[in-house]
Amino acid sequence: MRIQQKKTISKGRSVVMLRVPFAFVCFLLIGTGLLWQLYRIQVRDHVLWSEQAQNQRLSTFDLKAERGEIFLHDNGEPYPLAVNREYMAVYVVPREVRDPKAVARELAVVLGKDEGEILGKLSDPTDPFEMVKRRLSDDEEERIRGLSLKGVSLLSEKYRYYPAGNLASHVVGFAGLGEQGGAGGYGVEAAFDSELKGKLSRVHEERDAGGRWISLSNSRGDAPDHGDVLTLTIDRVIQHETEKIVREYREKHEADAMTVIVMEPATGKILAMANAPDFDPNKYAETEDFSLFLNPAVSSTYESGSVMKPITMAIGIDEQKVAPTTEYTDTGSVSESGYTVRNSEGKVYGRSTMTKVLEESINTGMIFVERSVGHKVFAERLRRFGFGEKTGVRLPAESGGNLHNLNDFRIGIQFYTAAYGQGITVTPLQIVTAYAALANGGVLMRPQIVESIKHADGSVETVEPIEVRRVISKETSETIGHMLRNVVVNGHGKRADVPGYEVVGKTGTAQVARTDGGGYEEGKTIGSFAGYAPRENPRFVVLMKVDNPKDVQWAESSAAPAFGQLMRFLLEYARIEPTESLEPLKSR
Amino acid sequence: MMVPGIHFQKKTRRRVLSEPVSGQSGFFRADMSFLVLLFFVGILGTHIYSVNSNAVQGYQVRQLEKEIAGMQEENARLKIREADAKSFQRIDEARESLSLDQALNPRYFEERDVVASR
Repeated sequence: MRIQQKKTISKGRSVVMLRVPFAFVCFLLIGTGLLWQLYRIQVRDHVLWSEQAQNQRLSTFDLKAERGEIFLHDNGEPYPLAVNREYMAVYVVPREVRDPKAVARELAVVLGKDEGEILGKLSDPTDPFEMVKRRLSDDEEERIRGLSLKGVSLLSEKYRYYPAGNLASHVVGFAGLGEQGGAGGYGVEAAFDSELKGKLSRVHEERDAGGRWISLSNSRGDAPDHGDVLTLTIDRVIQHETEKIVREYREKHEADAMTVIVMEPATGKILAMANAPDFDPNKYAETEDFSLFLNPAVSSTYESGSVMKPITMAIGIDEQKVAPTTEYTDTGSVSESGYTVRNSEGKVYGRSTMTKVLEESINTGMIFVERSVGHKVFAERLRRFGFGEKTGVRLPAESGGNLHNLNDFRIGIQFYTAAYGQGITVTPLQIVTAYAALANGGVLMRPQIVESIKHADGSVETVEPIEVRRVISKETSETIGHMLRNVVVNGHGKRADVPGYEVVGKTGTAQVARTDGGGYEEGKTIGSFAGYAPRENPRFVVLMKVDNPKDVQWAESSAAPAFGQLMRFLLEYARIEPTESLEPLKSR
Repeated sequence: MMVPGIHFQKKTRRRVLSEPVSGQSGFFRADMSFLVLLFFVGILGTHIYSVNSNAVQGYQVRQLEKEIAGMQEENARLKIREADAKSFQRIDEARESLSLDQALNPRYFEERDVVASR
């Protein structure tokens, strides 16, 4: 019995002993499997899974750059000329609209649109989105919100907005806003587009499974570089007054167009640049004639006529070939190479000084000056005054004019006509820049339209005036000033005068070249007055240009009075003390 | 008495750890372990609190940033309204609607004028 008990105990123990190693092996296998998985996921394929996890968490989006704004001067405060404005747009989700007819009716009343058109947008019940109207007014937005229509929602959009409307429209141009700060078309919006548009940035953030941002995660990305903010040299009040005078005189004389430029002669800063007709940059898409967007002050060229005579005279004086008292004998005409140049209205002045030549605007007198200087020197000096090349103002589509007629020194008649402003073409900006050189002591300045640039980092860059070159001496500049004062006091510029001030300048009534061949248009003229004031220490130089006035022929009746009205305003606005005795103002 | 086939084994008594050994108190040992555990729990708790607090502040900062952006937008809207109000176009329209006359030929008195100062 003892041996049997021993055998039973031994058998039991053997079975038990077999299970243990078996369990051990099982656990070993499972453990090995687990370890292998851990190794595979965390070591061997670590990079792969880590990237997948990151991609699921990582969210990337672009931060748009705001287009830089543009400001004018306004009594020391900047006035916004171009800003980014938020407008609401209304859209419908047709598949959420239960009663399309009722919705269309309500929206048509509020938005002033055709009910049928809106109903058309709601016709497809599976459609997820249809835009109804953009750029809602505040009133429309409020009324839409009040309706609380299912399937009708508002969307915020940003547009370029010009609070001043037509003011300085040719200077500012217009722009559309887009993904990367928009794009400018015409004007400063185009010329400074790269500075204005800025640079968008990309931001990487980690988000949880619910799409919520994880605040303790590593966000990568910088704030966007918003566009630069520009402050123009244009003075808001001067610009407005200039445009008012332009509208008034254009209507009065039924002129085809007008251009006026006001410049600070010492610096070349443009204080006003007005053209008529103009446009509203807020409604540029409604304009059918794209040529309206071109700025005639810098883009259109014309034969300037007698406003060129002071330039020719300054060249002659600076070359010491003539002086204000130099005399010559006028016979009323000059013939050259089969052509005959006559004085205006066929007048004959006889023995005349150079002062009288400018006073009476004697064409033959200018030929005398040009002959004294010589063709080669005359052409060179004219080019030094900036004619025949762009001024360098940073505005788009600037023209350099045309002095090609002065390339062949054998054709003398071209030089004679150029001496009194015909046969060569110039831009209004070139004329006013040249007169600024006459006014400021003889230095040609680069016209400037931007005063300062504020960058995204807050730093402000002031644009300094640029002296291009000296074109005449200080003495010549003073002499010309006295001669031009005579033109206003004794000559054809009387209506440009402002009592109490020494206003100087010159009229010009130019013929208009035919576009369909040689010669000039019959009955068409361009009247100009270019001048500056006060004669000593001039603060303003102005060009007034009237295209084809219908009721008067001569610039002394069209451009000169408009110049006088504007100059009076400028001198009073700048609080410049009168230098001559005040006389009662006479109505013009 | 010896019984064939049956073996007796002498029982030995194991000593429990908590029983005092030459002068050391068992209560002191229990207290030390608890303190150590409490210390590590405290560290962990402080760390979790700090992380959570940072996360909350992060969301608060984001919320404040949104509010600032909203105020800046509102500021920009008001500046545009101000510019609209100051525009010469609107002033001219208002002048016409109020039937105000425009001064065409104003006369200016000199400051030195005795009559004007009385």
